[in-house]
Amino acid sequence: MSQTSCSLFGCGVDDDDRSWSMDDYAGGLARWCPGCGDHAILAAVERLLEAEQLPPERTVFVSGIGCASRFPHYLKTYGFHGIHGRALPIATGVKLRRPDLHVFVVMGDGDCTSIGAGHWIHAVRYNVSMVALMLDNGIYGLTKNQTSPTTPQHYASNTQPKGSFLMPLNPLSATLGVSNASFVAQTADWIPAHLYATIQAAYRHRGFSFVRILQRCPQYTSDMFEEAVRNPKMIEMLVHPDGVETPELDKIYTQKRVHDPRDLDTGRHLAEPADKIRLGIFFRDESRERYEELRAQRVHTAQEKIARLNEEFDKYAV
Amino acid sequence: MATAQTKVRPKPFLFPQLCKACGRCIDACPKHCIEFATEIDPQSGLTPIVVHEDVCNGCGLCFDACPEPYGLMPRTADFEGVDMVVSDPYTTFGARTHGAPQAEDIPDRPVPLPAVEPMVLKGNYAAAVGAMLAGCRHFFGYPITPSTEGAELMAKVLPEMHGVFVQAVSEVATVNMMYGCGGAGLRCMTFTSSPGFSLMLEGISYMVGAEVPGVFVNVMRGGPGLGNIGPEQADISLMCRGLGHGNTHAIVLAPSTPQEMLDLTMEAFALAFRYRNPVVIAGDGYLGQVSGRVTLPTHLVQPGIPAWAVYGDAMHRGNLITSIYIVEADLELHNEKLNRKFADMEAAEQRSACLECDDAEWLVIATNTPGRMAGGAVQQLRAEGVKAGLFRPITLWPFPVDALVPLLERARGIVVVEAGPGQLEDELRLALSKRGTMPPPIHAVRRHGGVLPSLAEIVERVRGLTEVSHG
Ligand SMILES: Cc1ncc(C[n+]2csc(CCOP(=O)(O)OP(=O)(O)O)c2C)c(N)n1
Ligand code: SF4
Ligand code: SF4
Ligand code: SF4
Ligand SMILES: [Mg+2]
Repeated sequence: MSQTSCSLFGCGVDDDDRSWSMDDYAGGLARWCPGCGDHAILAAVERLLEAEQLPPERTVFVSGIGCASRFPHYLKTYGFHGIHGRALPIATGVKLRRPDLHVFVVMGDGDCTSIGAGHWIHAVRYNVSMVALMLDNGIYGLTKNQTSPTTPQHYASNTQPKGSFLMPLNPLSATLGVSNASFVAQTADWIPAHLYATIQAAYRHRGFSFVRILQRCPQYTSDMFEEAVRNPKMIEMLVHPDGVETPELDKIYTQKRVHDPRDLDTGRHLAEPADKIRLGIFFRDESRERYEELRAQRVHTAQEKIARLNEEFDKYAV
Repeated sequence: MATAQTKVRPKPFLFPQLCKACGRCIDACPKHCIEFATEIDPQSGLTPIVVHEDVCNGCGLCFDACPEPYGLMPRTADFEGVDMVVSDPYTTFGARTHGAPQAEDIPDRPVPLPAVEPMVLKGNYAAAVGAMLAGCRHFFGYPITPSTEGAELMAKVLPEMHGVFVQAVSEVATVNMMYGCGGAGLRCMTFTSSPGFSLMLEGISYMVGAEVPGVFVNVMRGGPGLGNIGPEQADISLMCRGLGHGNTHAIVLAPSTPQEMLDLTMEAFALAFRYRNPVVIAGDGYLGQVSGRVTLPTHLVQPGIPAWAVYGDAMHRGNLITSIYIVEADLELHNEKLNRKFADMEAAEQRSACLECDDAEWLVIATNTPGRMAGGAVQQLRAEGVKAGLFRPITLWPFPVDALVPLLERARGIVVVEAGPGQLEDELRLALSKRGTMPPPIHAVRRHGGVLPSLAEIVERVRGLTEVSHG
């Protein structure tokens, strides 16, 4: 965290002795459908904010447009309900100017991987420190049931009534394939302990943390994750002391695989579609270059700034 | 004194028209004797360099630095008195030749439609049905409320009709798929709503420039920004004045009933191909959702193939779709051609509807759903003995000023009713001003943010005006 820019903008100082309770974070009544996975994700995020004692005025939630993107409305932190597909560039703008803020991005699958796909790839490459949560229900929820890039092949929607033609886009492989990826994880809304541990790991990572959260949409895709929810054998937990560990779930989720998050090749291999859904951290590397640091500049004095401007203007003097 | 025979090194020479003003020679020159001229060269449109020969020692470094094949070079006697003119290959070598046969228009064919009972359809469905009857078999779109039902109907039906439905990854992808499909001479369309239409503007400008037809149904919603999904008419300026960058216009058709959604969408395809230009259907969020009685036409269209199409067969081999005209004079000619086309549209394509206009003293002007509200208001006012009439523009561009002007002689006042900030009134005022007509006082009933003006509001506004003018 940059002390200079923090004092420059007169924001809270690090020896902050205030303490925060859940009430300081939880905003209005969430208006998602009953049983929507977004409720569970909101609860996990609120828990994280309290556990990490993030000052609400130094925490920003940026979103795109969609059901998932209603997130900032339900929190008492700063919120920025942006443009469909453009949450990541908006968040990049916030973070570059205010590196002292804790920036979270919440996107839907359509938001992130369809209209926002270009921004997504470049945000991964920029590796600006923020937590990007992609709430993946495999469908367009807000616009009422159209195919998204992550909709499973042959799965019917209003725009592909005979089923989706294409093989779905794999957001994990795609992110892991982008140069300078630094944190890639997957979790699910129906396993709260794992959801929480994963979001926490993402928050604690220095760099761009991409988390795909499998999210149930009982309204339009009630059957999409049904089997995985009912049968824990379909889930394989990626575990490692440096990854996500949830011993309390060991009795239910017995399928485990040790995966060192530093191992990119294996992470890529594990991200490929398999007969099991893999949850955990696929890759993490804090040594990747972060754009905000590459671009960071010493703060110049007023005199220095004037001198620099004069030097530039002199070039155009006649 | 013995004079050493020093070889005189040639100084640099440059046809200023052939300098692309990259400045490399300036950096290369050790004597600092090259700088940019202060005036633009009329032939190249660029600011070429000038060499101060008095300081130049002929070292020749600038010749090497210049990347242009006919840029800076050593001066020889050959150049004395030569007056170079830049010409493009077309002027020098004539039109591009290709051995391809001359393509000919394959005309559309009307096909009789068996009589069917009238149907009850949502506005968005009616437009989709109209498109199918007009022979449109190619749909590209990105979901956005309150337009998506149109796309969803196409998704269901087109694949059964050997057609193409693509849910593109965004509106930017959508408009470019249309650019491609329209360029092939095929009928294609999209359904979108305000934020999505904003994203399509760049592509629409290219389509206008390259003269590619395509039909855009913009079911306008509340704005700016994400706004809401209620009906608004705040994209009128965008559609009439701001279709992307450059010199652009498109016919903008404004239906006010599901029947008109069908009829005007059919007509939009005919107009798009007649003029080789995009056509916009301006609907509103209410009209898209509301159901109404719809009668089908007597004929559907079996589309032909225009001679200009990049259709992908031997006959169309010589065609090229482009909006690029590098030489300024050529682009000016192209714009003059577009202007003639726009003028033809303005002369021939104005459309409007009138209700009780013949003896109207109070003219209500409204379109889309507010046009229906205004129609009800006019009938109520007539029942009260107020001589009110409704003038409903059906083309927003070109504004139907020809039909309006004669009505103004009797009119004591105009009331423009809009679900928006006055963009219809702006079109009205601009059209009258261009024509030099002084209108009677113009009043307004305006609602915003997805709220429609109500019948009672309109009646009250007009009634208020009659009372003021009596008192
Ligand atoms: C430019 C633009 N195009 C289309 C829309 C309409 N739209 C709103 S949300 C959305 C997609 C929602 O799907 P997703 O991102 O997966 O989020 P979910 O609702 O499923 O959480 C679309 C297409 C829009 N708001 N802006
Ligand atoms: S439509 Fe689906 S994603 Fe949206 S709130 Fe309802 S259940 Fe959740
Ligand atoms: S010949 Fe040499 S001195 Fe003369 S203008 Fe070119 S670079 Fe400059
Ligand atoms: S290098 Fe050649 S093209 Fe570039 S400015 Fe000099 S003369 Fe012109
Ligand atoms: Mg979704």
